[in-house]
Amino acid sequence: MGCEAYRNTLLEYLDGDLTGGARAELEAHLAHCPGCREELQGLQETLTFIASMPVPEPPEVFWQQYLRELRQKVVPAPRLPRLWKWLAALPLRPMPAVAVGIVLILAVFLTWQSSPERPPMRDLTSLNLTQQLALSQDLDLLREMDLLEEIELLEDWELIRSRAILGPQKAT
Amino acid sequence: MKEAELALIARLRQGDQSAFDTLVRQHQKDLFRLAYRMTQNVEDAKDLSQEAFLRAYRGLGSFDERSNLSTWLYRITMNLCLTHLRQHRSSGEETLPETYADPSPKSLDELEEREVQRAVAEAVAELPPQQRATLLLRVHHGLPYREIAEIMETSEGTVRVNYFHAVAKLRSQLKGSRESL
Repeated sequence: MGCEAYRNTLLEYLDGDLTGGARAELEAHLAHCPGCREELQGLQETLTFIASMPVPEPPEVFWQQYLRELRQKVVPAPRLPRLWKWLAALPLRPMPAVAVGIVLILAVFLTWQSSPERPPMRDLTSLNLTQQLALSQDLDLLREMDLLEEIELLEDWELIRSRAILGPQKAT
Repeated sequence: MKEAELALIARLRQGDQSAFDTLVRQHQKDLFRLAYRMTQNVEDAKDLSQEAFLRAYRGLGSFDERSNLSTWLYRITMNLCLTHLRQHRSSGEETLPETYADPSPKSLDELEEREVQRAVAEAVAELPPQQRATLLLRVHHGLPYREIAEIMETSEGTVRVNYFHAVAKLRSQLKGSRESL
């Protein structure tokens, strides 16, 4: 076997994949061939340089942010029907609970207002500033509820759209 | 596959958020390093490795439990990196390798070593993506040819040939840059 053939086995030799007779034969050749020994040394040096290529080591804060971003992007696997989920979380969500209360109070108030026996209604302008502010906050809250509902609908739409684009999930 | 990995997969399939956190913490550094070595850009490495986690999570249904979890994650990351490199090449964008060496060399030897390191980084960046991928998985991640073949979705023979060509090219470049110093 000539030098060229031996040189083709040098990487296998360095990997430890060359065994038995082939390994012994190469070692015997290397013992008396300075050219192939130099080639072997060059390959070793190349692999050492590749292995020593620097890679950045980000700080812990980078990984915290990394995970936070991923959590925001990940879509929970099973999703409960939206209405059920909302109702189930109601005791844990004071804001919507307050809003529901306000809606009920308003409904009672409007029913009472449309009744023919109602007492004369107070002019809104007669409310003091605190009362007007409270009323406007209630209205803002109701508007926010509508907005939240629209955001949830948009999120659902984005989810459906992304699944439609990605198609059936497959390991890529 | 190890029992702990099977349990983690089961929790992930149940939508357990803490299982996802565990998966990320266990593999984030390996995937980031792999993506960095492929793209040689920190931002790209971050985006690509994060995308790999998202795809893995969404594609849990297709995961074959006879496979190794890390092999599967490497495969997803590698495919994303190869697609990214193809898109950059076709759009004509070239990313210069970022270097993280000490900005002030203390000796002539250090300066020379840095020059050689730069030459190696550039030579690695110029390798065809399949060869680069094989080389990095073998040298940096210490993976056996069989696992690299699984990641690259090719035969073990092709992996060996790619590895051989990649090292030979770098050997020749390194020799050239040494002689020019």
